Amino acid sequence: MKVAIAANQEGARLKDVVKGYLEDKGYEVQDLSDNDIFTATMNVVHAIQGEDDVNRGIVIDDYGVAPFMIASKNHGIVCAPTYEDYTSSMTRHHNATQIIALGANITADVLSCQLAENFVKTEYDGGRHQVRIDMLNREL
Amino acid sequence: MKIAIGCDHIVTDIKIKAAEFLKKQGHEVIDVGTYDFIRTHYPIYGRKVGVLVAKGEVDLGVCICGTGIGINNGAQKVKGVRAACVTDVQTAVAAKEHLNANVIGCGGRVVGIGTIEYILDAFLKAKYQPTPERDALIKKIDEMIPDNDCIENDHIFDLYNKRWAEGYYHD
Repeated sequence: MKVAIAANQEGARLKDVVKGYLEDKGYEVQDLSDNDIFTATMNVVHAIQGEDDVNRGIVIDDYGVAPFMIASKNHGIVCAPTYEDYTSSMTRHHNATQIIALGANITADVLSCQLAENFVKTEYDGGRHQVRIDMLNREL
Repeated sequence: MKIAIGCDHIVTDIKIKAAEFLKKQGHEVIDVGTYDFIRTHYPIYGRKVGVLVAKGEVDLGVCICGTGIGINNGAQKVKGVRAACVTDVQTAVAAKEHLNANVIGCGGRVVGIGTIEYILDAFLKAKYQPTPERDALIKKIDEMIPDNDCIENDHIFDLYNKRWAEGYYHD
């Protein structure tokens, strides 16, 4: 599995920490950062939508709010702003989330790395949850 | 202010408490459901809140589900909505000040009613602080979704509700 990661300037330091952590765990991580958060987020969206076996994305800025707004407004993309453990895995189990947004002003290094690992290693439950994903994909 | 609030069946009790809090602050609250604990689907209520916000029928929206993620993605996918899903006051305030968020959400299984009240109070008091850069980013976000039938067509989920009733989706 490949992971796409991107940050703007506000998220750059935390992005390097999370990237190094995931690489130490054996994940291949592509860094698609850009100082413009819109471009950084869309770089990750395009990596997820592309053919190249990238099926998780992480976008980091100051609060994680802008990446959530931008990523979720793409057809077929579910994005989760993630600040604690429960959401980092539940959003995979129930929402088939492909991209999480982290806020460097909110989650410190240790927690951020754990959130990223939980998100990357957890699989989607499917089943009854799929009706909700089909509905999201009908909206947009 | 006029505020729309919605939830799924996991957190109806918490949604009711949040609505009561807003009413006590003097706001007019439109509760779009769900109203009980019978299993339903978060996009229905996220879209309902989002549509009221997008049409300008309310000033702001509030979306709560287990983690907040599902229902706030449901709201976010309505053109004109800028939703934030938060666990703390600082992020809620930044969402309003930097991005003029018009929907605030959280996870009823993640944060308790005390934190939700703090988040709602701070979000409602916060004001957008415009800069040319922020205005440009908001415009870009608002233009992402092309015109579609999501706002006007209240039947977009009929097919999926029918399939659900027929047992098409099962664990």
